[in-house]
Amino acid sequence: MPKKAAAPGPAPTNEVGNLIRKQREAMQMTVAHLASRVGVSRNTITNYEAGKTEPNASDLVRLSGALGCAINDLLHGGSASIPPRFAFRAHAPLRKDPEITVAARKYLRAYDEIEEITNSRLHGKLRTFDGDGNGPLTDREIESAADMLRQTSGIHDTGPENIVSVLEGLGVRTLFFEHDGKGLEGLSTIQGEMILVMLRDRKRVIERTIFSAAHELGHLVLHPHLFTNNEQDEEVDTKRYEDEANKFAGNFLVPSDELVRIWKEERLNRLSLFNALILLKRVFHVSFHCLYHRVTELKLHARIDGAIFINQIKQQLGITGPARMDDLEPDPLNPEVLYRTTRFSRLVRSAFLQELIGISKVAEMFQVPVDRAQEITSDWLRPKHELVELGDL
Amino acid sequence: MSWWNSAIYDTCSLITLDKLLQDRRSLSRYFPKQVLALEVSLSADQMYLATAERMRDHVEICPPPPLTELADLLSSSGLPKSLSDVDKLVFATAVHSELAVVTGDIRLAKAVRKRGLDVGNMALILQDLVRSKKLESSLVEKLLQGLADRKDYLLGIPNPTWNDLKDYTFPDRRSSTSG
Repeated sequence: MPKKAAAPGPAPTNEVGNLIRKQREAMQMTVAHLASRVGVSRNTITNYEAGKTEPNASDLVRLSGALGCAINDLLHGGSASIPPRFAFRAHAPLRKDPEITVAARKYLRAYDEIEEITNSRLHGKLRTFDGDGNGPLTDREIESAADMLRQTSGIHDTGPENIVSVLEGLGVRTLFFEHDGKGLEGLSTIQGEMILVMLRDRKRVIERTIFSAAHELGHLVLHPHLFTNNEQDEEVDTKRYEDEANKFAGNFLVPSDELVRIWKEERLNRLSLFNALILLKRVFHVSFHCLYHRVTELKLHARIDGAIFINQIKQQLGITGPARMDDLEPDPLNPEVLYRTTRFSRLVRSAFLQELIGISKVAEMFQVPVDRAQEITSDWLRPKHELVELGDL
Repeated sequence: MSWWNSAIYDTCSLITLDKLLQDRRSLSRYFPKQVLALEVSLSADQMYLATAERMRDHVEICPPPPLTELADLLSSSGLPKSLSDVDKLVFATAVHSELAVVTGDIRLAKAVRKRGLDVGNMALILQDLVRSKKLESSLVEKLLQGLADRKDYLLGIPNPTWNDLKDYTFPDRRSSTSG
């Protein structure tokens, strides 16, 4: 059996309890949420926080995992990390889902650590829109902000399929995450100097991923105060902010001058709206619906009643009966064309190959079990290849 | 008694041990009936459920140090950020209970050795079993290849042989041969 060393003194029960409460409140998590994530009763958490009982070290690891912080944050209050602020492209109930906020917080920590370990901080600061931040933004202001950023972003060269590289070039750390539930496409978060956009790793209709990335960029550029104001303000204007971010995304991905030029040069007004949008999609590589909004915003085509438009799409696609939005994307982009390599995954891989980190750290950073990290890292040590017979060359 | 019989195993080593025992049940005679490990190593965050279920009977849960000592150990040891939180807890437990450590992590191994405790990895255990003539080198080569086939590159190379293991050292330097 392990030999026990003499206990060095009384445990800092109250301090640890206070830090647990502080971290829980920072994550806007209820006692019930935390208890359920850790797998203990609500009383257990309440007793920890009140200093009545002390968690053991294993409990502390589970608590830190459930709160998305490091063990040290629960042991040494002084080094506790600043809680992140979020903006979500998600249905309202998902905005307070601790699963998502905790995963985002862990990624923020992991990204910060991997940059420190590899000594490669992301340079470049995102230029935010210099508005007064009080009232709604005009269409002109949003278009101007999108145009300005588009010119410096390199999206024209990389194409929207490499939207991750576009965001990273603008100083926005980006990564993909798995999410099985509906209603969450992406989120943006800020913690200190760190800006992170997380995009749902879609297996189909990647047009929505591209749009989500541009939408989150819109929040970061147009609504920096969203990440600093108190929550009440956010609740009041959620729809306005979402509309503005959508408008920004549309302008960023489909600039007005280019759209108008192509519409006129190729005389797309002679085609049905459906076919005109299909042709535009080949140019801009964005969703059919994004193009519809842009074409009607610019008054290149009259707006159609939503239900009628959906019916027209269904008719063209030969769909009868109910359909999900994902089924209503004509001529979808091949999911393979979306560049899924992120700077984060490259840095983790590079650190592993340089033996700066081991498999268990890879697991912690990717938020996967160590067995899974073993599989991932073995692929790094032996990259896939295709054997081509000499005769085929 | 071999050093690894009274050691605490990190998650990575438990996973490798599980694979080895699946490949050759009789290897269990060279390990204690139950190896020491942290409870958290068997959690879903750390290990596939199936692995944890198989390993539960082979593991004796080792109590981590009290919080005050944990806080002192973590703040005074200068452990790098490159170490995972669970590995930091393995370190603190090993130091607190004066245990040897079986780990797949070089940084953890070096930190433990600095404290004067025995440390090694699963590869060194296999090497030791061959040197003490408990296992044939050909069998160990098969075991290594079996691990590699299951994406467990114990020596850090995809096609390990006995020659690679023979010259292998840990944690100071790795075998320079390539597969």
